[in-house]
Amino acid sequence: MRYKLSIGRRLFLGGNVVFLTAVSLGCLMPLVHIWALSLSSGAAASAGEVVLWPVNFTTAAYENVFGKPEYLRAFGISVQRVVLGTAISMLLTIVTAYPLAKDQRQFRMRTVYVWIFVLTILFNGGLIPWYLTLKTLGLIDTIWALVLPGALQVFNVILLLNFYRNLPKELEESARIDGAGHLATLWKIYAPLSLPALATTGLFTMVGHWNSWFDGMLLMNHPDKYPLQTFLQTIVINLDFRFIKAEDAELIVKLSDRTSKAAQIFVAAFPVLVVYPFLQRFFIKGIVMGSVKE
Amino acid sequence: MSRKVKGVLAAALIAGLVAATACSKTDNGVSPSAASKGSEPSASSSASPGTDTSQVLEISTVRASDPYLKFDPGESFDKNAVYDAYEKDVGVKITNKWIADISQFPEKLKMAIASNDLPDFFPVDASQLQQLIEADMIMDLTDVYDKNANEYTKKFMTMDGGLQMKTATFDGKLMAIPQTGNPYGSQFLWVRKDWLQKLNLPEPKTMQDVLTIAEAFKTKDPGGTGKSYGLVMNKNLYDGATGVTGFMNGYHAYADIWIDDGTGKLAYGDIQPQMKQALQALQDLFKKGLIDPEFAVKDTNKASELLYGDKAGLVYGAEWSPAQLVNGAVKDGKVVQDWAVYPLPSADGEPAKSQIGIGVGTYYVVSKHAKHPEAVIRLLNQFIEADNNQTEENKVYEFGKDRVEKSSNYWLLNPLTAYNQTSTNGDVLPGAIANRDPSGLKTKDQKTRYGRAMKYVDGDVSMWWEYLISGPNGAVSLYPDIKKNNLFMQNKFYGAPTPTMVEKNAILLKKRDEVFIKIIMNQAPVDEFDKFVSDWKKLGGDQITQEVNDWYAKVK
Amino acid sequence: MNAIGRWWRREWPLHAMLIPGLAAILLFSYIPMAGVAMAFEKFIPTKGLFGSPFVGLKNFRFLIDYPDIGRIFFNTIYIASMKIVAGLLVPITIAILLNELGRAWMKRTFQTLVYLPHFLSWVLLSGILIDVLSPSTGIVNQILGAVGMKPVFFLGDNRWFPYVMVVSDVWKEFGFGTIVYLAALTGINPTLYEAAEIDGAGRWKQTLHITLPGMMPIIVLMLTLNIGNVLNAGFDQIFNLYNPQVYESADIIDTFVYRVGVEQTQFGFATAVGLLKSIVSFLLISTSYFLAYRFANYRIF
Repeated sequence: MRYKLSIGRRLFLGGNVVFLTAVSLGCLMPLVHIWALSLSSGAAASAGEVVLWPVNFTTAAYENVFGKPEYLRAFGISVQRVVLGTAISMLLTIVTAYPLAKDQRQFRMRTVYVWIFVLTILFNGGLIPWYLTLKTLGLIDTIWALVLPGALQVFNVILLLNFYRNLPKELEESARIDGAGHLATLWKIYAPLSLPALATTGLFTMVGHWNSWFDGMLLMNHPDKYPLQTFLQTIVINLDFRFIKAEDAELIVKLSDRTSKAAQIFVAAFPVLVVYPFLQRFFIKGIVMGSVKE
Repeated sequence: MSRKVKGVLAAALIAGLVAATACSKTDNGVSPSAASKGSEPSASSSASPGTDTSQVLEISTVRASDPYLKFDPGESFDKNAVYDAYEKDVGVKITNKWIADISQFPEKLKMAIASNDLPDFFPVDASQLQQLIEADMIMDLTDVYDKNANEYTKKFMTMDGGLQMKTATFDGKLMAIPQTGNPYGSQFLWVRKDWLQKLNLPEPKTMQDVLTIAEAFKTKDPGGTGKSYGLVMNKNLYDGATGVTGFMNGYHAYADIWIDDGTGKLAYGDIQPQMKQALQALQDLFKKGLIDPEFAVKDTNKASELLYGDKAGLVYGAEWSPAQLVNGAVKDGKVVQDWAVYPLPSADGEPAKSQIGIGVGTYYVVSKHAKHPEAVIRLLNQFIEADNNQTEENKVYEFGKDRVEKSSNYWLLNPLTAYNQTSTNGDVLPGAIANRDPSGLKTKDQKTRYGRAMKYVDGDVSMWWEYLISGPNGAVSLYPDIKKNNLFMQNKFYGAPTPTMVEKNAILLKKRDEVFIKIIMNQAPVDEFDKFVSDWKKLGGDQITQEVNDWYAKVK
Repeated sequence: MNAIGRWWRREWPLHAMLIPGLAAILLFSYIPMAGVAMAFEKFIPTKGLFGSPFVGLKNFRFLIDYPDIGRIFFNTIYIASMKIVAGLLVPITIAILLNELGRAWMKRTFQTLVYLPHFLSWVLLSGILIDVLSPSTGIVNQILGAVGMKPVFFLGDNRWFPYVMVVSDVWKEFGFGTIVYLAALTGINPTLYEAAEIDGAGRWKQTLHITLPGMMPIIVLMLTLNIGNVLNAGFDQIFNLYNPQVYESADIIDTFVYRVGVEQTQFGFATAVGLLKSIVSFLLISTSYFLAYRFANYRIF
């Protein structure tokens, strides 16, 4: 069967590969550009001469980055945040989505609960009361301030509950008959069968934690406690050229160092780029059906 | 079953964790206001004039950390030689409530103000000052300053005739200590000198010269790139570098400041007829292809690429412009672009005046709940003393415990600073650098600059920029003449934003930027300016002018 | 009594499982939500949320009275709705195309590459876009020139600017958006395809009758949630790319609020605008939810 592909199908497959290659290259270019900048000389970078290949190759920017204790410390805090944050978040999401995935007959209040959760995506009271709440809770200036406030991502809960709902009902019923409680059903059947969905929400959570910088800036009371993206923000930020004073000249000189900016961005992006291909192994087709047959 | 227990345990753990951290810290979270209330009345009465250092006063603040500050081993923001010196010399123990990176400090401070979580004293900008006064969050410092500032400080703070102190005075009450500074920073014209010589062009003395040079730089393409332009500008017309305020000043047009209209009333610079002429001139440049047709999408950094890449060699900018230019001028350890700086050329016979502000951007305010406001004045006294009359002993305020310069920028640790309201940099630095003679240098700024320029002289080309700012032919060397002829136009309005400004400025500035850019790009005729002026007046401008003049009548 | 007892016995574990999640949103969402009160106040920090003077609808009126407000709303909705539509169609298409690839390594490589731009900030990308779209030197215009077209000033032309925002935003986010649909594809029963093949259905028919319906719950969910963003046109992107030349077509609610905020911190105004946007999203999302329930007997979430 496999060899007898029609001409139309072959044309499609060939075209598909060409098309996706073109699209992928289009997405790769900016990163290549940043990579090239990071390995170019400062003068070439400032003059806009660097396109997709380093000009006047030098690794000075990387020596500069890895020589910075602040950078490495911030990197460590980010890793800590991602590990802690993702673990707590995933646990919470998996458990919360389970009851909400039940239908009305099994869990009468589900729709009320769902809306209680959904409303938090739609409405928020702004930064000030949020900050005050965290302050009252004593979270300011601790790693928990970065981890707990966003621990329950309602979007992820909704996504996951949609995947849960698609699981075959027979599985759950047979588990019931075996006398399994809700938690057992969740851990033994729901969670393992929704691996692709868990990988997806897990990825969203990790990326979210890795990328966010604003909370680090607002909630930490010392730059030593900044996570990586907050630290990077202190470098990539654009100066407001209306309000510069004569004494700031030195600052301008340092901030216009594009190559070291590029190197720091490149290194910072690296971990999330590696995580994704790794998680893709959990996107297994037919995982659900396989288990039904057994 | 055991799994179930585990799950419940995990959930309980998380909940408990939140609760535990919450309980342990709530108490000290809300206390400062309550605790300090009782002692408030004693605040102004306790301190006697001069400084009684037997009793150490504790005072809290917030700090912006600067990447150029390098701590001596074992020292930190919370424990360092400068803070120790203040405690020992004037009996003030400084504590930091929080520290934020300098780029994120404003945002963090905004949150601190909004959540009413203030330290004893802290730096704010003019609009925050206004906000804090309205919300009744800061202390009237009139008496505290009067009793505790020593004679030298009082003289120092009013050397400009009291203008900068006035900007911190509301209804006769001193609400903040202004971070005094030198407002006399001119705009300059920066030109590629090697290109002038190559093309045999005269130095720019008049606006006509500027046009000639721009045209020659475009047509003869001395950079050899094939894509050259005359004048570099960016989408923010009023930026300090690659802006066009200097160009406008050449036409006696003054951007976004309030000037005397000749009858003793204040008028807004952006709507004066001179502005129309300046726009007309820019439009002419644009039509001739002397301005990058894509300038309107580029910010300073992006626009400057033309300069770095030898595509243009003519730009307006403040005295610190070389700090930008260095990106293209110094390449692989060699100086490859030769820049020269000139005073603003004028479009007519009358010399151009550079527009300037008041010179204060930062104000130190004291929270209503501060127990020891007098400590702030002690800090001020001590800083001014140490910064202006350096002794072997007080060098610690500038260099840290070793009292020697090692470019660790320890002076940044001073939590409250005030600087000279005039600058003698122009009179002192160029000569000192030319003759390698630091004996005439007075201020810390001068010494730092001298040090950097000397590094350049001794072969460190990365310090090229400082030499072009402070050296014999640098920007500051032009100041003595500019001052002698009083070629400054100072903003006459230094009050708080008026109610209509707060309400209408967003639309007025948008209209202005839209119209000005369209005129420059020849997408609208210059006469569109007249329509803008009448729109501006209708949309609230007239009311703003009225409010500004009401204010002016009060302070005059 | 007995019925309630039985009901409680059956359902209590489900309620119990929600407690940690509810605690989290109570602490970090519902308590801070009291802040919406600021929309009706002139907020004064010392007086706090409950003591600041009440100003009624003044903050909303400030928004409505702004001379260009109609234009601003139009720009916001125009750009945002195009982003919603394109941001849905492109990732779905790419997910299906990726799914057609036979070799796993190819699929993984493409998947990873298209996901890269999501990690670059608009501050950074704006500089790159200005170069790429430059009428004189940009690669896009060079290609247009090669096929005989006149150069286009994409970022400086009101006719083009909104579309540039849509295309560049879709380009940045589609790879990341694809992930969720790829996950949805894994849930489709492979036996369905086998059965279809035996029935002689071609690949196209299979896509139409098996793949798309299989993804439908997630598609509907994403559409519903995205519709709520109709007043969010993308502040970071537009703020970094717009300029006075294109204010006419580029000024959106968020950039306007930002410029007002620069003049003076007005907590009440920013909160009022936020509340307005929330109400609009709430209305749109709840309407689609109840329409789906009423007419398709389907609960989106």
